[in-house]
Amino acid sequence: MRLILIISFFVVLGCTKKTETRLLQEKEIALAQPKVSSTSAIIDSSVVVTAALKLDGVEIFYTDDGSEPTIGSMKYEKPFRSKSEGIYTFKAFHPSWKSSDITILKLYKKGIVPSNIEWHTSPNNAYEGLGTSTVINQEKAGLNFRSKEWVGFDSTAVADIYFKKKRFIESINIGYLVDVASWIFPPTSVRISSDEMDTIEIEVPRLNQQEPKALRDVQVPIGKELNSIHIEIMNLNAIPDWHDGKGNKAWLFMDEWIFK
Amino acid sequence: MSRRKFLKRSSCLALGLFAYPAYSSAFSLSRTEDVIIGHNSHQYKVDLSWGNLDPLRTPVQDCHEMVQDSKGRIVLLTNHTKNNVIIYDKSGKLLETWGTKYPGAHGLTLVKENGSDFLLITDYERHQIIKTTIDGKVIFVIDYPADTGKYESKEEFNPTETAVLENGDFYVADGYGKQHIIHYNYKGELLNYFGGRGKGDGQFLNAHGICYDDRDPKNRSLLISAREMNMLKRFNLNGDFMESIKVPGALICRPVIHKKDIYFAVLQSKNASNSDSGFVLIMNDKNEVVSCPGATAPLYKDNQLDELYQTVRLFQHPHDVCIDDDENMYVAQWNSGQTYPIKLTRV
Repeated sequence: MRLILIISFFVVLGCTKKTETRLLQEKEIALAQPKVSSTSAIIDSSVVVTAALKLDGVEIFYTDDGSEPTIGSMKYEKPFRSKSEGIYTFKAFHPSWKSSDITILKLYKKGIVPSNIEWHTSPNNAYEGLGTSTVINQEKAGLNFRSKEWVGFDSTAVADIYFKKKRFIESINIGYLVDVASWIFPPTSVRISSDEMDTIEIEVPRLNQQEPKALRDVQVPIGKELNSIHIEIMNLNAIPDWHDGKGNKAWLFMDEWIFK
Repeated sequence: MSRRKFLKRSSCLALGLFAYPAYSSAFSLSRTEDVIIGHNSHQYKVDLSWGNLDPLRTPVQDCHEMVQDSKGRIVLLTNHTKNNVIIYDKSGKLLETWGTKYPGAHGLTLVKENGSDFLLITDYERHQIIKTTIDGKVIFVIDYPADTGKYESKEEFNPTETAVLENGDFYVADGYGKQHIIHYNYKGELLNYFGGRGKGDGQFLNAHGICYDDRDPKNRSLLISAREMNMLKRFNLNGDFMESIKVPGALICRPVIHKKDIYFAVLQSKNASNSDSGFVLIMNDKNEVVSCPGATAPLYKDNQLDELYQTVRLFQHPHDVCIDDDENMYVAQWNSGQTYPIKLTRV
């Protein structure tokens, strides 16, 4: 009986202690996403892909088909060379921390390079990128919107694209940035027209909530031989209610248009 | 083993309880291990329960800054106007609150004068610096520094931080405004100004924090963070630029000197995809980064520090740190879902 009383006393003490201080335990908090980069996101011949999360004990696994990695996926050991376009997905694991969110790296095959671009609207003065050919210079950008690889519009972006000769265009890929904290949103739609085809308009899904910064793209299927293309990219006119900037105009940032 | 665990185990051992098998399994403290963060000389356990209060009674908005007063109490400044100042003891117990008129409460500096504690508060919404007693009585209020000729209206002046010398002179960093550092005497009279917005040596992008560095009595100076530039800058007391200390990847808030080390809350990792990518950074007496709780281990190659970045999603947007007389640290966070500070217990 005395022993039970003593144990009960310590059980009470132990419980009281727990409510006072709750020290963070293993597996309560997740790792940050691995940092992933490639020598270029547009493959001419090949690129080198690097992934890192510099924390002792971290292991990074990846897939090359867009699926979510597990510890049964390919293990990232060192930088590797890639020759083919695709979606690489990376995830970090650690014995003491929850696994990370995924990091996606999208690699694109180099497309047909236009001979000229003629703009009908202008980017904002502060975000003119490297000039009029920024979106066709075969350079993708990173997540920093201040990089000169981005052109930033606060209005609809309209341009005509010309090729040296008639080319078969399978599709057009428009790369854009999502950085909602900086009021940079996806376009609402992309409209493609030409004398040689009917107008095609693709709606881009809207964001319903905060999302991490991301490089995204919208692909417009064409399947025609064309000399020139008229491209209109519609900007979000009013930032949605869930955002601090609600009602204001959103920014549209684009890095590259790839003509497959 | 922490002191608390040691004492608990000692008392149990004294009663011979560990010899009883049923006790040892029933009293297993936890199935998992306490996490330890940080590097080298500065490693910590993380107390997520410290200072948590009833948000209906004692709410916080952003927890901007913290100091420890002469009585050892932990003073928190928040921009919630129900209670701008929340005072805890070191265990996290609420002692008192005051302040309802500081909507842009941001900078908090302890001033010790003739054995009494005072506070300097910067308020970027009021565009003012306010000196108060430790219990909230206003001593003086300073408006925007029109006499410098650099400001046309109060809205251009958005002060973020102050630093105080032994003689009562103080400096104000206009970190959300035009990036000037303004020097006043103890009465609040303008003496000098320097800095300003720009990328030059003596200029700032987001002069977010300032502190008085008296670690070397022969070369007393000012340390000022240029947060957007991922840099700490040193000036002499006349406002002449002396040096820059780069902290690649780290958006450092104010420098906090404790003994010979400098501690920083890092609001964000520069190149992270998530905004809530902050951590804590500690420099030694040589101004070398020695520990980054929540981030990569500091690594120097040819005297250049590798880019630092968050490795675990523990902190969101750390905005200030306070180191108490037990070497434990309190981390106040901006835009973290109205959470109370996190305590880091040094191990």
